[in-house]
Amino acid sequence: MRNDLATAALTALIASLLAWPARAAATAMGPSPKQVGSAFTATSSCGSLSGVGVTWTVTANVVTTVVLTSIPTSCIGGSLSLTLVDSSNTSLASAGPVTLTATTQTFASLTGAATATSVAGGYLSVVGP
Amino acid sequence: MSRPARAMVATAGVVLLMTGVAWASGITLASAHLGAGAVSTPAMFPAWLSFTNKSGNGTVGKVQAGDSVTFAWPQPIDETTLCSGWSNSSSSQSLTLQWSVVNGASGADDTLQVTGSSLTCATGFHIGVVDLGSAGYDTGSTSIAFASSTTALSVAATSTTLTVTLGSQTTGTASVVSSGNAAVWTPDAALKDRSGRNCGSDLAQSSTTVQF
Repeated sequence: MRNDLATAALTALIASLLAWPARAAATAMGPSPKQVGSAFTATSSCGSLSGVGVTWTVTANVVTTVVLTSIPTSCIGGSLSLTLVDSSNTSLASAGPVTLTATTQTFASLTGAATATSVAGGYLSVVGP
Repeated sequence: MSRPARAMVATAGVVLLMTGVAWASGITLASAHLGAGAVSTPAMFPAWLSFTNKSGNGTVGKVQAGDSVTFAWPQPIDETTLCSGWSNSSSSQSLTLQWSVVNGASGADDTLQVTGSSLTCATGFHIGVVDLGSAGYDTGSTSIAFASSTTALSVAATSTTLTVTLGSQTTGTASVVSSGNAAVWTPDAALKDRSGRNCGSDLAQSSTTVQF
């Protein structure tokens, strides 16, 4: 009987100890973690994006739709974003990210108003697949 | 402490230690394909398409004499590619042409296009076609023609504007459109800027959904 009581008490203690790390983990998520890991990993592109074609629809001299063509097949499944910039490389409008499902991608809406005559170029980025 | 009790405490310690290891290995750096590149944007494209109801008592949504349509590009065009008899040495041109609203086949949207000819433009007038965004402008079987429409070009250092003012209606019956979609201008591939570039697949659309 005495051993049974001791065992029950120890079991409760162990359960408390096991539960403690969970609370400790939550409170440890601060600006100063005690353990920081780092690593280097090489990345590569899904394909050359320099051959991607850009056509657009303009409404009152503002770019309202952009169609990208000739996207490398190997990029399908990746996440594509587009940024239109002016001659100072300042962002005028952006679109995406969207998951590529084909080698042509239409952006029917853009964030920001890009005056077509101010656009000097664009930048694409693809993450994945 | 009894033997079973010591064993349980030891087990708990091991479990706690393993949990700590799990936290450290829980931070994972995932590798991925990361690609970026610059792309060229269109240099020659249609920049503007708009409609103006004739001043005075024009009916909105109905094509009629006095209505006007404005087309624009963001640089000087090669005027000879729009009309072969025009020259780049002149910054303004004007002629009269027949423009028509053509009934779309099988319920398709009606279109605005040049349907006449001019001796000045021996190979045609290469403006392209405008989808008016509705099938309701011309509900008859005959195109709505405006035979003597003033077609004026103005070329500046950084833009070209073509303004068409519809002349007297010669055929067809115009209907009134109360709702529709934006009009879309598809330029003629023959029309080029002074660097020999055409508009490719670039389009311009109106900011209005009811034209004229």
